[in-house]
Amino acid sequence: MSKIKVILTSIVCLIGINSYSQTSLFNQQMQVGFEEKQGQYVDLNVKLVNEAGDTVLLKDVINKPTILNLVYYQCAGTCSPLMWGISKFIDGVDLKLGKDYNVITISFDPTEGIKLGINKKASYISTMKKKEEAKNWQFFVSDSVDIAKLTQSVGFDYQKVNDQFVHPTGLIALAADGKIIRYLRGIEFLPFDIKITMVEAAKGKIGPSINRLLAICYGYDSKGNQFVFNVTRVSAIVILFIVLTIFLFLALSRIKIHKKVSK
Amino acid sequence: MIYQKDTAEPSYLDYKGKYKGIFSWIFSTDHKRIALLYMFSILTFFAIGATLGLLMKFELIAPGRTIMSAQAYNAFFTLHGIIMIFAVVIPGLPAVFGNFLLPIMIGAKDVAFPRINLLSWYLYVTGVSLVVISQFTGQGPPDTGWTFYAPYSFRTAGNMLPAVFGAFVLGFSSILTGLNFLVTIHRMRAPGMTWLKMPLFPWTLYATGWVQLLATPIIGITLLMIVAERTLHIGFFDPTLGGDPLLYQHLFWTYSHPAVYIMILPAMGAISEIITTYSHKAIFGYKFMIASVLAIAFVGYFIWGHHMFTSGMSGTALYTFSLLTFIVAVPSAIKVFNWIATMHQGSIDLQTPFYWAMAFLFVFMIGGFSGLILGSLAANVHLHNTHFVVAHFHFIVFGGTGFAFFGAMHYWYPKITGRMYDTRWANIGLVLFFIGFITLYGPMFYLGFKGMPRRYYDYDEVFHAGNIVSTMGSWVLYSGLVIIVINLFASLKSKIKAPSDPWGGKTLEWTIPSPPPVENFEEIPTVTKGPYNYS
Repeated sequence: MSKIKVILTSIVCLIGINSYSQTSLFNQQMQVGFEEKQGQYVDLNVKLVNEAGDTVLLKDVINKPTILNLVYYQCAGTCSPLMWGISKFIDGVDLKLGKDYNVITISFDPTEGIKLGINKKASYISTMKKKEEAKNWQFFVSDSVDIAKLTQSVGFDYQKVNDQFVHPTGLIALAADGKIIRYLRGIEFLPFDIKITMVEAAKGKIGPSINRLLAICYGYDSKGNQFVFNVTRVSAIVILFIVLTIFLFLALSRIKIHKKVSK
Repeated sequence: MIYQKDTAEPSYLDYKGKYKGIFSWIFSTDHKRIALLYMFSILTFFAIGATLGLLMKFELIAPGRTIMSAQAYNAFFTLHGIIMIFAVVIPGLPAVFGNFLLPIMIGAKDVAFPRINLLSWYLYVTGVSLVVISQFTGQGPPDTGWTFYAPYSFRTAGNMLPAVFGAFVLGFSSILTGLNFLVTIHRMRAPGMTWLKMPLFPWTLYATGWVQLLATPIIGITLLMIVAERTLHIGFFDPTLGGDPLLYQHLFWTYSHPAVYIMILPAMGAISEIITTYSHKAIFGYKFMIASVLAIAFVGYFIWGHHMFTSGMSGTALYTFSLLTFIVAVPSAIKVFNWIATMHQGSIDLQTPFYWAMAFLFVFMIGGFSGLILGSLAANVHLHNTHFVVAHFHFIVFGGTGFAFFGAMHYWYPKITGRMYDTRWANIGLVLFFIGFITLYGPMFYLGFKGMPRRYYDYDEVFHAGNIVSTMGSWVLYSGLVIIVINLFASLKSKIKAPSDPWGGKTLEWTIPSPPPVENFEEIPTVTKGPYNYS
């Protein structure tokens, strides 16, 4: 292995491990990272090849809140740990995959065939508890033109270096209409964070109604890459509620107190 | 006006209840006795706070160390601030005069929750005790200033937790008092006393009650978050734990700016009562006075950001907070205009409380105008954290609340004690107090404008002259204060008994004997006319 190749491989690993803690990582030669486009829409006309070998449009796949996972199946770096992280949260989250939300994994390497994806899926499902449910985790490949459209529309900036890719590591949460809701960086995710994100993406329309309350009580800390209890918001709501209740009680009821008290 | 008959019922001072001696006070649920408990507590803490201030000013008489070290100076201004803000000016007028007079002025026998009223005082004493204990325990007294700014408040070796917890307990006391007053005003007004027949002092207590109820929990939660951060290392405000120091400033000032209105609104109410009584004329623009009280309380919630102009906020936030700061000056100005219009063509009786009210108007306007200078973004960058801010703050808080407090004290003294005070000594005390006040705080505007920063025990020689004048002013002010307090205490032995209505006041408290009987009214009065009926 040449000296340059060793250095580049090291960069790949370092970026894979560290990119989740940064908004974007800039190298002198390359721009790699998530260029956050929250509130914008993914290109829904991207063509994908599914596990059956059929060509489908992305808009046919995203019909509910969706976790979009961009990897390449032969990645020697962080893609496998990332997909392992997905399998863990699918097992942990109390939402039903395929019913409440979708997880789709798309290879951004146009040279890869769907067979690689099918094998990956099988290997992860074999380790999971929710084996039946996990079958709804969908794997895709695509061609270079559609991959470019897709990655550009979600701000997934990556570079090919020899036969490897330098790329950001994380997940993109999408609403059912393709709106980009949030970037979840890293390789491991708390089921709770996924749940709140999906509830947020569905505008509270999935799962029990308590979830809506959770979405209000928790806010996403982009630096810590997780949802945190929003103590100020909750306190403000509680204070306002109590004060409003007292005001309404005093203003609307007509009881007079003229009691004689013991001194 | 219908005066209540002199009844056989003893006054609240002579009443023999279940307990005797000191216990007849600290176990009493009579709002009047609780008011006096507050008064003596607050005067005690005020004496401590004023002495600390006097010593700080002495330290500043010359550059370098004079009588204390830098660390001692830091501890002094911290304790001075905490005591004066949390233990004196915030509870001052509501807890003392509100407790004593609110039920009487609305024709009630007591507040709605007498036992909670007593609990408030217990909490007050506990909270202040914790703050004082923090000075003598742990690794040294707190040195953060009364604002407890993060992240320093988490890193200082000073004994922060008892001080912060003490302020938290004081917050509870304030909330309970506010709640009690709100329920009392809503539920216990005498028959016929509609909202628009209620005197202005209860109106200001009403607005203050809502501010206490809505704003004080914010500081309570914030202080708990400090405790959690220091003890459990949960990152709220400390950047090293992932917290945000700016969040602390926002939360702190979201409470502490409305707290200025907890201090000043009842002061405005007392001044309204004094001016109308000694002008022998109905208050000018009664409804506008009420509207301006409510407007100040409401807008006061949205201007906290002007304390943070140099802390780092977006341009939009800066402009908005600056604009709102100017807007809140409008209802304050309405009140000043209306007070002056009330005096116009009035039959003015020049008594000590009236002089206090005039002094209040003078210093309050200086405080208000200097507040507008600080509310201007460009000027603020230069003046932030200088003595100009200290001067403005004291003109508003000490000048506003303090002058109104002493004015109210002299106004209602005959009603509370049943005795008349020595007017000559009262006036001498006032003159010294006023001259001392202007001499003490006036130079601070100049010093701040020239760039002298606040909270330093040392300064450059260029600031020396201004500091000498200021320190000498503190001696004059303190002398005036001593004369005022001695005169009021000495007058308790006065042979001149106060009549029911020594000043010709028209509100309900002047219809009952001085001092008031235990139950205030033999019969609950029926109100048929407005509060300032001089026709």
